[in-house]
Amino acid sequence: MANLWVSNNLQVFVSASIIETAKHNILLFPYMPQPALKMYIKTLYPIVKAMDADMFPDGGPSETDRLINPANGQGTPSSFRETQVVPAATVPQPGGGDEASVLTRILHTVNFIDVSAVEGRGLEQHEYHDKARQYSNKLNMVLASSGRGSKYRMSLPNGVTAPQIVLASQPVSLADIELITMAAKRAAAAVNDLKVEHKEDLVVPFGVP
Amino acid sequence: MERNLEKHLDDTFRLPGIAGVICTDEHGLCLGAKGVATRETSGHIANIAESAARLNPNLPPPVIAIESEGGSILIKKEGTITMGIYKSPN
Repeated sequence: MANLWVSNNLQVFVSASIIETAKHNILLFPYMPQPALKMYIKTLYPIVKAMDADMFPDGGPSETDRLINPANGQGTPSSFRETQVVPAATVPQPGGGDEASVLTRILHTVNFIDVSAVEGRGLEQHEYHDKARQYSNKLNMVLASSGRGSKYRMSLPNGVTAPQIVLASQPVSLADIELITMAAKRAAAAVNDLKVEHKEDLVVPFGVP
Repeated sequence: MERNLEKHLDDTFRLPGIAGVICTDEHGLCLGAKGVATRETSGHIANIAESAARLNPNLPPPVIAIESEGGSILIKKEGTITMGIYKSPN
C-alpha cells in the first residue's frame, strides 16, 4: 500500500523511491500551491495509476470506462449512478475529474503519518543557562578531583570572564590607527625641530692678561 | 625650544574624544604630558612600545591599543619618540 505523509500546513509528501520498491511506489515533493499541485498530480498520474493497479488488483474504474452504457442509455456503472443523464454532460472532464477522484481515493485509502504533529520542545533561555551551569559545575568537580585538572586550566589566564565576547568584539578602528600614526609622525618631526636658542654665552672670556 | 612639540601636543589633546596625550623618548623620559596622562607612566609606555616593536623586528613599529572600560590607550613608536593617546570611552 502506498503511504502519504501530510503535515497540517498542507504539505503533501509522496515519499521515497518509485523504482526500488514497486510495492510502495513513493516520491518526495515539497510544498506547492494548489494549481501547481494539480499539475504535479497530472504528471504523477501514470505513476499513481501503477499504484492504482497495486491498490485495486481486480481493476477498479479507469479513465476509459464509460459513464453510461451506450446501448440502453439508462444504466451506469454502479459507482457513477445518476437519475437524469444528459449524454453531453457525461463526457468526463479532460483531466480534472480523474485527478480529483484519484486524489480523493488516495486520501481515503492510504495511511497518513503526520510529521508535524510531534512538535520539538525547544530549550528556554533560562533552562539553557541552568543546564550549562550544571554541566560546567559537574565538569569542574570531576576535573578538580583528577590529577590533570591544573594542566587543563593553564591555557588562558583568568583575566576575562567571557573571552569569546572580548575576542569577537570590533577591532581597533582605522580612524584611531590613523590618528595615532599621524600624531606620532608629527611629534617625531617636532622633536627633530628641537634646537637650542642661544641666549647667552656660557663661557665668557675675561680680560685676564 | 620645545614650542613646536608643545603646540602639537596641544592640538592633539583638543581633538574630540581624547582624554590625554603623552610623548616620551626612547629611554622613557617624558617630553610632554597632557590631560589624564601623567609623567609617571612615560617609562611604561616607552617600554610597551619597545617590546611590541621587538616582536617583529623586520616590520615597522606597530600600533598598540589597550582597551578597557575606562577607554583605550593608543601607543606608537616613531623614530626615537613614542606617542601615547588616551581615548575616552564613547
